[in-house]
Amino acid sequence: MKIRPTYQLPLEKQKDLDYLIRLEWWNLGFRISIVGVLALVLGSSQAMRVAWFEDMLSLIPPIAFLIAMRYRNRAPNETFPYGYQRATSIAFLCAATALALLGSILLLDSLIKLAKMEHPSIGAIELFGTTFWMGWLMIGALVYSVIPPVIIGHLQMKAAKKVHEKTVFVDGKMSKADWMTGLAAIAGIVGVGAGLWWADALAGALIALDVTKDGITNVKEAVGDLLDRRPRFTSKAEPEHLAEELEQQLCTMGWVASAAVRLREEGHIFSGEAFVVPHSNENLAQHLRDAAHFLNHYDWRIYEVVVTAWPSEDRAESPVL
Amino acid sequence: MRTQKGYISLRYKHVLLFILLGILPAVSLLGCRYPKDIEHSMERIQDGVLEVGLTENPPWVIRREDGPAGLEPEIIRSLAEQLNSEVHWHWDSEDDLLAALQHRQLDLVIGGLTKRSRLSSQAALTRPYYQSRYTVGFHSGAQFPASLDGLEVAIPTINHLYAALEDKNAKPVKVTDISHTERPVAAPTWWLSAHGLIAGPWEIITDKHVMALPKGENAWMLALQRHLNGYSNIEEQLQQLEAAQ
Repeated sequence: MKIRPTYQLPLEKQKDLDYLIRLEWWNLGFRISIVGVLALVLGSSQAMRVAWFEDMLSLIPPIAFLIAMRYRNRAPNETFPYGYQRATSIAFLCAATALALLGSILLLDSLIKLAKMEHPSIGAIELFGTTFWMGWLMIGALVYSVIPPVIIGHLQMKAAKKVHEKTVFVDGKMSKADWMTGLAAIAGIVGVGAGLWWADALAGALIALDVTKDGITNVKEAVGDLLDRRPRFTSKAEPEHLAEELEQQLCTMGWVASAAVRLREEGHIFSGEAFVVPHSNENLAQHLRDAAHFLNHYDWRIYEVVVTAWPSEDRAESPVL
Repeated sequence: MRTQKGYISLRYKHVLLFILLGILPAVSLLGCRYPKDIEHSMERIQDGVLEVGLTENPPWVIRREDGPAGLEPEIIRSLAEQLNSEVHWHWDSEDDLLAALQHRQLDLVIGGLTKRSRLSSQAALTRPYYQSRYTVGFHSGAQFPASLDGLEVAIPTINHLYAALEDKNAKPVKVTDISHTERPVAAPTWWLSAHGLIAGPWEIITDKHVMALPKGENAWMLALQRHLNGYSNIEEQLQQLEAAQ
């Protein structure tokens, strides 16, 4: 059996990845502190509850990423000859599914509260000898819950782009947008304080809607990755044009008549096949090996491109057996 | 993830922002009282009428010919005085009162209520204003044992102490009148001192005493909570009330 060689990140990319892992630990730490702070002031406010669940869910992506990091660098072996690079995609799918499901449950719960016209009670608390409205404390906790994710989210996006870590990139993007949901929860509580019973449940529903939407977007993305969709840029939805680039590179080689390449994403790296029509069969085996070596070192994201030769009478563009 | 979608999600987030921007000025226009009640309880109570539902439960609520007495009616009377409101008392069962509370026919339900989940699903509860600590008390001159192991402890026939005492390896014995028994007695600390018993160091259970309000009346809740937090000497009052019985 032919087992793949182990994927090696370039040295400077490895440094970027180490930074990203450190960043994810910080992210996890702050997220846990946010969940703790919100739990302390959790009253019977629906918006607060949904925001709290959202923050609990946001623990999953960093945990999934950090766990996947442990497994992904294992060398390919007899049982898993293609290696473990896809561990991150699986983790991503799990996190996205949890997000979508819980989001819709929370949405339903908020809508039921809205339909029942439930009046939310926000009590009072005694701190340092004075009694004040619990809502103020909740707003304070929510403000705290908004600030670290915005900063870390920004850093995450920058760092994730460098090492093509899509899962972290998406997580960072969501964290950056999180301040809106925090603000919505604050609006809900401020609204209840103003005597508007619906403000709280409505804010809860809007946050839940946002959670569900994020979940569904991520499920689509994760399923696309696992279905070997053509590679995309980390940051954009546009397709990556690396395949075309490789074809051009192959065509510049003297022995190549025409070439076609297809690539897929395996987590943060690309693999695929190159179909080459040679001018002649002279030295073909050697040419193929050299071409494979060239392609596999062309871009740091390329893990393994297998190069095969096709007779000239066949059209290289559609190699169907 | 697609750029087009990004645009849509941005617009949807703008909706959130609009709601927030709508609520904030509304709040600033409300003037001094914040938080406000959803059903305007405080406006009706202040210089008006306070509708209180109560259940007999001495010494928390005592039913007398000349009107309600006990700890909780006293607390409410002093609050009503501050708010310049007239109290209308409504005697009924706890069940009826909680239903009336849900239909916003009452502003408050009292009767030695303790914090439990069934109650909090029906009403908004204050924070516990007093914690009744149950322990074992001994008659003066009696030996103070090192532990409750195997000790026979007198408890009333109707009680919620039996299982908790057994957990502490004590032997609960049901008696008809715990104020006339030679055995050590399990009761709240205020009851023990009112009956001249010396309280032991053990903590058997703790009752967290609360009052029930309609849900969503956050200004009224804040006013009551402020009053409860400022109310002191509850233990002494309970002792005196029990001793007077």
